[in-house]
Amino acid sequence: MRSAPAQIPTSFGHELRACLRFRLVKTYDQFRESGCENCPFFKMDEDNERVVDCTTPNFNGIISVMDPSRSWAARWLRIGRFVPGCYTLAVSEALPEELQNMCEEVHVQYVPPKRV
Amino acid sequence: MARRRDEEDDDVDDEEYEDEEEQLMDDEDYDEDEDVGRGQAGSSKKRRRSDFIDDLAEEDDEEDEDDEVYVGGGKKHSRAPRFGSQFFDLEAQVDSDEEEEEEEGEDDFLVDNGADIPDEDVGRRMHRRPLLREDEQEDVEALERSIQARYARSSHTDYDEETTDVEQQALLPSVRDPKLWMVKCAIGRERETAVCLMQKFIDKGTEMQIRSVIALDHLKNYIYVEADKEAHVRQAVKGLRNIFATKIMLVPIREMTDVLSVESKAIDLSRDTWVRMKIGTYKGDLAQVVDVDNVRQRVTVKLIPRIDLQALANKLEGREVAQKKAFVPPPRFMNVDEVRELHIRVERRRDPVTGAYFENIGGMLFKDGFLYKTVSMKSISAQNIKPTFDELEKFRTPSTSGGEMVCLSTLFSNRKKGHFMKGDAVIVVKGDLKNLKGWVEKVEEENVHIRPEMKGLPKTLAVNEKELCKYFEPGNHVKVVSGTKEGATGMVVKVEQHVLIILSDTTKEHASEVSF
Repeated sequence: MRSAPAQIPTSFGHELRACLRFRLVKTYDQFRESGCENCPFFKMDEDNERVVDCTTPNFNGIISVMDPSRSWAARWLRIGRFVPGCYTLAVSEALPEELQNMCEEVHVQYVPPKRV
Repeated sequence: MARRRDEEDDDVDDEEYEDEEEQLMDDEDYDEDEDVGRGQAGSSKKRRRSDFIDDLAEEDDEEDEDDEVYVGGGKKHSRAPRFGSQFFDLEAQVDSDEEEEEEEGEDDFLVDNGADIPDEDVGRRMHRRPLLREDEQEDVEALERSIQARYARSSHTDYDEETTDVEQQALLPSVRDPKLWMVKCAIGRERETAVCLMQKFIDKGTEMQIRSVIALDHLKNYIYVEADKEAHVRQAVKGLRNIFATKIMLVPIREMTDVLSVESKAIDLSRDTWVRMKIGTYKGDLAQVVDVDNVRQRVTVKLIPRIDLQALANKLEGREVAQKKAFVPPPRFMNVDEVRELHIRVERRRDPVTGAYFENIGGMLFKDGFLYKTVSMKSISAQNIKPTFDELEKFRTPSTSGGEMVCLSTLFSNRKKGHFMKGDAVIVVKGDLKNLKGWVEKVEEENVHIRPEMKGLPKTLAVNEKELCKYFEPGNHVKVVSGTKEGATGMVVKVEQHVLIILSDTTKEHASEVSF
């Protein structure tokens, strides 16, 4: 019933990064090793540059989702369908264009973050 | 606390019920009036569908809700006779043509993706026409199936990605959702605690009955835990060093969405952005971004230096100086020669990245008179920075290692700041007394009393401030009172209309043009 949870960040310093599409939070090294569990098509584990393009250290707040399908907060943040793991509430950067196109190719919708 | 929740429960239900009724009535108006309103009708139907989903738990049959939706529309009479027959006006069944069109339009709105919509539409339409008129019972089952298929597909794929604000309304917390509990934790360890609980969950599996943990950047000392019961929260945080389960507070349902609303500040710092310093000696000063280091979260900015050269010299030579913390030196461009005068070492360094030459004075980097400082991103403010005209002018001043060229326009705009003081030598520039020289005796609001140089005139004359101008002669020793050269003293060498050439005391060169 439960999908395998995503890796949990192993440290809390500046190496923490958030995936721009799914807002999963891990360290730079963790992304390089195993990519983003929600968007394997980005292939972060194969291309080191990709990690820098797909993720950002500018994010706001952390939410650890144990049970996304039964969590109201996850539903509100629209991460109710993702694997359990640590996510961020908001990112402040938008996904670069070429990666947005890649999302479209695999029929994954992308909405840039709201700018206040 | 239990009682309060019940009351809120009633309120929530009441509101939703009222909303439904209003929407039903509005929708009818729309349908009757315009075809253009179709778009709105379609989306409002969608909205009501979501309300229904929220109201009754998701596990319920969707078909029930959908049927009611169609009934509520007012025109969709013959679609769901099972439930809605009491709402029907059977005479309206004749309008089946209009219904077809509306249905088609509605489909477009309700199902965004999927290329097979047109086909289904056509197929359904062809079946619909004969069925509607003949056998209502059969129609209902076919309808059920098609709707179930349609919505089962779309709601599962789209649900996650609905991003309009209207859909967001549907996700408001209800009484069936887990509650948010605020728990105290060790300060500075909010993130760590959230991740620890995640790790504990992975290890313990189903034992922990909490759903999520939220650590906000701006809220220190507390985290939020999402769970159905307070007991679950207590159990989950047992054994963790960083959490203090002494006080667990329930978040009222109305405030739950506020917890998750964060202001996503678009800190897109790029070169040449204007920012303001938030801390330190330069607090409040305008600065320009020169370099951004995202990895280390630092930026290099360009500032007008506020250096007390004397204190710096003393410090470098080891002399004890009383640290006057309250004293903030005025902003002034760095003049390398002045620095050398005070025997402060100036090192010329080449920046490997840009290739430009910097002067290293007392550990700080200077170039063209500006101070280049690397600070953390947290200590600058980049939102809504509106530099004043004065500040911008100051920044645009290019300065070489010797003298400075000051924009004359700034000088003239700053001129008004010059006030007359007793003893100033002045000259009348307008009116009948033009070219009369004198000395200031007394200064009033608008009038200045001067003692004229010429014989045969009364002792003091009152002249309007606007008609007067300070008068300088070569050889006068003056001090600059405002502007970029504020504080500098020197001797007047030449007078030209409204500009003075001053020989600076410190540099012994023709240093500046100053307006008076």
